[in-house]
Amino acid sequence: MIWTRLLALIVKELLAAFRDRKARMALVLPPLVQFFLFAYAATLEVSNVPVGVYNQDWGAYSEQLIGRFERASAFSEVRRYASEADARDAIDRQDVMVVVQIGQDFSRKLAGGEKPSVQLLLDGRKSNSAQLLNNYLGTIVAQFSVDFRNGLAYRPMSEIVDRSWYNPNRGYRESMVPILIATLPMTMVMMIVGMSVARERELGTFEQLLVSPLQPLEIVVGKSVPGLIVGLAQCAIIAVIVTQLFGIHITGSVVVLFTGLTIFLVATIGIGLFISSFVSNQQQAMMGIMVTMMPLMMLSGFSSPVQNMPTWLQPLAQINPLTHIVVIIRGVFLRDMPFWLVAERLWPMIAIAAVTITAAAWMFRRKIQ
Amino acid sequence: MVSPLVSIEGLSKVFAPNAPAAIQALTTEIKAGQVTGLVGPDGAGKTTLMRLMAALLEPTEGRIAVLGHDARSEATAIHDEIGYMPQRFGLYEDLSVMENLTLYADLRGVVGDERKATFERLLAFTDLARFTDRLAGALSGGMKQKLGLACAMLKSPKLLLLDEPSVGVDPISRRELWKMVYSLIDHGVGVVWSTAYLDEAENCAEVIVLNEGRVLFQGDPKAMTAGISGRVFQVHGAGADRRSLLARTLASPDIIDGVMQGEAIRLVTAEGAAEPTPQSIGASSVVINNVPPRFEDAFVAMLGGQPKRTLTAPGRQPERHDGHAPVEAKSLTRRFGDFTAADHITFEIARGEIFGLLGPNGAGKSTTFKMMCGLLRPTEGAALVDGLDLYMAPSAARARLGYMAQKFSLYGDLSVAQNLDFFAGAYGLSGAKRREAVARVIDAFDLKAKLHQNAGGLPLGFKQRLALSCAIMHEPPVLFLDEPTSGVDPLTRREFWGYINAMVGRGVTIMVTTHFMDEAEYCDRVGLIYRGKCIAIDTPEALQASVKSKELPHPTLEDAFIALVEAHDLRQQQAAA
Repeated sequence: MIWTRLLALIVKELLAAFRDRKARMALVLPPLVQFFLFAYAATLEVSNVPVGVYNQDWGAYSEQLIGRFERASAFSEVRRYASEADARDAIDRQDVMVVVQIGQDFSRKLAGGEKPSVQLLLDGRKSNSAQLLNNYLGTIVAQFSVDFRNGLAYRPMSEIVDRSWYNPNRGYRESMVPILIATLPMTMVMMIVGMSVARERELGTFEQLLVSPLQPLEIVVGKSVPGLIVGLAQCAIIAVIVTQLFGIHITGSVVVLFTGLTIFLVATIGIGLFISSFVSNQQQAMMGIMVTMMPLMMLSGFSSPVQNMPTWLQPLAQINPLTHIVVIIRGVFLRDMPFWLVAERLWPMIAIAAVTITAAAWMFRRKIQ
Repeated sequence: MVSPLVSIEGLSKVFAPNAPAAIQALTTEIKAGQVTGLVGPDGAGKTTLMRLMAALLEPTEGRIAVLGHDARSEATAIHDEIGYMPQRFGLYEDLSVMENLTLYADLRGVVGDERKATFERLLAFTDLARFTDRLAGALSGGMKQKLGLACAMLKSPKLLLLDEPSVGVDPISRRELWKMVYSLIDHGVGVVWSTAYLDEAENCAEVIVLNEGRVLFQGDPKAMTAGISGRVFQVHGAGADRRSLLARTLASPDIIDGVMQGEAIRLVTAEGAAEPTPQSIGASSVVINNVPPRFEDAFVAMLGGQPKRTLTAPGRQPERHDGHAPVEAKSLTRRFGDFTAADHITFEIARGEIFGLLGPNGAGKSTTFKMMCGLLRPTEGAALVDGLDLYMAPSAARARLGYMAQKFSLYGDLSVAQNLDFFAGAYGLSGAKRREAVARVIDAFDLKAKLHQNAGGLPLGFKQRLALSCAIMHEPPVLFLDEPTSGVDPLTRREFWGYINAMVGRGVTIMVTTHFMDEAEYCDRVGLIYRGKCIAIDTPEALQASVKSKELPHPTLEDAFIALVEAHDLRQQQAAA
């Protein structure tokens, strides 16, 4: 009896989700487009940017330094400026993000064993990229001076050799793109589930459901399962693209990954259902989901680490399912994360899922009372 | 007579190249200083004609002149001089009454002293002055329509087009709306009032009967009614057999229309047919009187009578659970904070009875109905279906009831077959049982031809059949209907009640909420809900008889309703004094 009712509800939801070409396209196309947009366009790496140079020095050493800029793969070209005003103007017009100003005594000081100084003029409007450029250029300049001294037979006291574990090339793509396996289906699933309840409210069919022998928890399950099916399918498609097209390998276990994703999606669906239990139309549902989605994304540590957040904010990140799945995905992709570490991230998501799903069922029941 | 406000010549409107014309070669006039009723079944073209007159649609062919302006070339001039109130007037529900008025005044360019004077006049006229701070969304249906009317009248129009202004409005508010419109007529305004409620047509000086985009009749409604005098009869004394008697008489080609009127049956004979006798209708103990026709009789007769489909009662006889009433309200009370929406409402419905919950908007009728369906938990008291408390055993009790919501709550994106499958499943029918149930309703409601069409695109009559099918597939002994035929034209309404009557014949118990008197006439007993209390429970005739007086020798059910409400108010005032 209960299985008949549940099955009827699930079949109905799936039929509604795949009802026509337009609806089917809406499930497939936006996540794919978003995926490629995010994967290609939203990169934090700085490459192929021009670098400006205002060289006041007439010596040979400054030209050697500039030659290194020219050879650096991060920069597309070196643009020379004849005056400080020109350099300022170039940054103003956003021709370049950085201008390296080399003082007129650069070669003389270097030759004399003094410390020459090089000034970097950065465009602070693009703080993130400016920061990266600062690092690149700083490294080049430092290396230049080290090599110069080596040439003079000086030996530095110590040398730092860095190696990045798990992501040897420190590729932005390797750490960011796999996260899309969770974030894109999350958006989609919350929308599907939240809007389907809101639609039923609008049409009056929700009352029809409440009057039938279906129990509130059955309605919640019936609404969740189709969302889960669609969400997992999207996860799988995106995972295939990430591994096959982008060549990012899964180092850990696929089973662990999908166990995590399943629990994550259930928690997400719970949030979507809980939001939808407050709303009376689709417009409100859309608002509610949007308002929730942004903080979930920001507080997940997928773009800025949770450890960098203020202490009072960190517990909030812990009740965000995305925080945990981000750790799991990175763990499974970049290294073979041991299961006990995965489990540490699984149980908070299970708790979140249990709370949100129960709360949604309780809210539906409360509507009756 | 002065020149007409609107003159229409050879007007046609076609929406899609291959679709049938919404308006076909229509020629007519609208006169000033009177109410012109625009009546016709659903889809007859009433709204299209209204929008054409309001210069919101361009005619495909023909010519419309409104107040001397051509609708094609001078649309702006027309918009300036007329008032138009669409079916769902664009009130901003999140704005207060005053903010709505101000907004529309701004849009219409009514400013300064003129605005002040207009607002004062309209607020007094609509009696909304006390509610200026209330959100429009929180107004009752009647008050919303009054506010809509006020907004449409901001610019003192010479012509007022009202598209179904009385849908969702209770009888008391409806009378007030009519009073308002009559006072406009006295000021020389011409009003066009479109309606599916035919009793309203009798209030009009002139009616235009539309069907399939053509004018069937234009003129004095009394003349139209008089056209069938001598062909309308009331059959009394059929007792419990009356529903099947109605179904039997309708099978005869001599009878073109028949409806229930409380314990009586109203019949209209075909033109030239013999007067019905107890023998001819096959019921010996009945008394048949010739009665004066109503506009609705003439209207249905003009449309060729009620559709004659053989009505097979869907479903089998429900099993009997003797010992308790199928539906019981025990002192149902619901409080929202300090406000008591339902106050100790008690009634019992017998097996095979149609019970109506009647009351104005906001009286507590919906609250009571929701408690009876298990959609709202009573603060006190209990709601029982087949002896099962809806809160102690919700799933079991709900499995025994069928529910049909006001707006035919179907899944519009799913096909008819998918809707049927889903509802069968939701009520726990599986396998052979489900196939059998689905096949049964498809057969009974003649849904085969539309099986793979989306429910959202069905014509109204089919939607209604499908909604009813979904509600009764699990063969509930009890069926709850929430304003099932509100805003539905007379033909579709008759068809619907035909099914209901057939089901009642099988012993199904029906509870229906309505503020629509025609629906109340189909009920065996009516409970009148007012201000949260059940102020009267009786048969429609007994209620009518109870208010009979010298001034009202033949009270209609609506008269009875209004008189009982007024008497209750009077008693309350006396008690308070």
